[in-house]
Amino acid sequence: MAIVSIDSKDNQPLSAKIVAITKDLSEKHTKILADAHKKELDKSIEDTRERSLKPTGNHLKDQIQVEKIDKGHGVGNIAVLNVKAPWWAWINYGKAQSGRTIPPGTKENPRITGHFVPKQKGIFTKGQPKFPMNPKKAIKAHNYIEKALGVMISKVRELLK
Amino acid sequence: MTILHWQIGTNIENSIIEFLRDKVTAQSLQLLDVNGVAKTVNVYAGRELNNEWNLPLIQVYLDSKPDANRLEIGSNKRLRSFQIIIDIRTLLPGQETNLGDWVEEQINDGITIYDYTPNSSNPEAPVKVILGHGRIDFITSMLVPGYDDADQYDQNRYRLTIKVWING
Repeated sequence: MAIVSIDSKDNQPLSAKIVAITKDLSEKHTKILADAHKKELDKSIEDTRERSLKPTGNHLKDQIQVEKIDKGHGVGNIAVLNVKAPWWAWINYGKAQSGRTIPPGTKENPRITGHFVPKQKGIFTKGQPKFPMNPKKAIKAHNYIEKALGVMISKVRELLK
Repeated sequence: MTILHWQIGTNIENSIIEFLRDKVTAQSLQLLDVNGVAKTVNVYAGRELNNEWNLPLIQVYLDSKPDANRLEIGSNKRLRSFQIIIDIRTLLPGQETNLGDWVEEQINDGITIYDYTPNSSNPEAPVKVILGHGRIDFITSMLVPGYDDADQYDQNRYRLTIKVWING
């Protein structure tokens, strides 16, 4: 029986070396997956878009970013989204975080007046000309989170085959 | 003139609804309201919430079709998946999670998928033939965050996302 001894150059235990390499690889994998997931989220947001992109202000897509977290990388920091794009939940689940399902209108708040830009499938924009607006229909659930996950899970399974 | 009848997506949607309704009936499944009165669990189809629906309820609809992989090179036979959203809405907090668990348990072994064709003599009972067995993958299973002033349909809500796989 032959016994092979492997020493690391810097005299660190081999097990520590393997753990470090594995951890690094694992982090790189989560980064690749997170980047791919971000692309799928962007795609599903665009695919389910009902109105044109608003010309100014925060956009949901831009607020969903890949971030380094404790054990790798994550996509979409909910604390950031709650501040910069709080409508993320409304669009996905068809329900605002305030609990409402139908957006507020002029009857509820007289300051909500404005117009749509562009006129067809546009975004409601405050300012002149000021027309009243009273939505009656609830926002539909777009399920962009689930759509992206559904695609990503298939991609990961293909990779692991 | 050809009138297009239900295609695979609607067939799968309706197969799940019928499957869950049968399970609810077979088990006489009920949940208590705030007064302790037992209420039967309803199963409805459709993405948009209907204010005439009665709680507690299970809402089922086809959301997307994320996979359509070729089964083999040179064949147009595909392994398709149909992503279904199951939103569970209940009268009291905690019930939504329990009902979510119940749904997961019922559909875990997959469901029979039927091909439905209209029945003019009895429109409520379309003619159906077995199309195959739909396998289930669970994609998400979680509470939808609730708030005190939420609409009654959204106060206690649980969402399951499943993929139904079928060859064809």
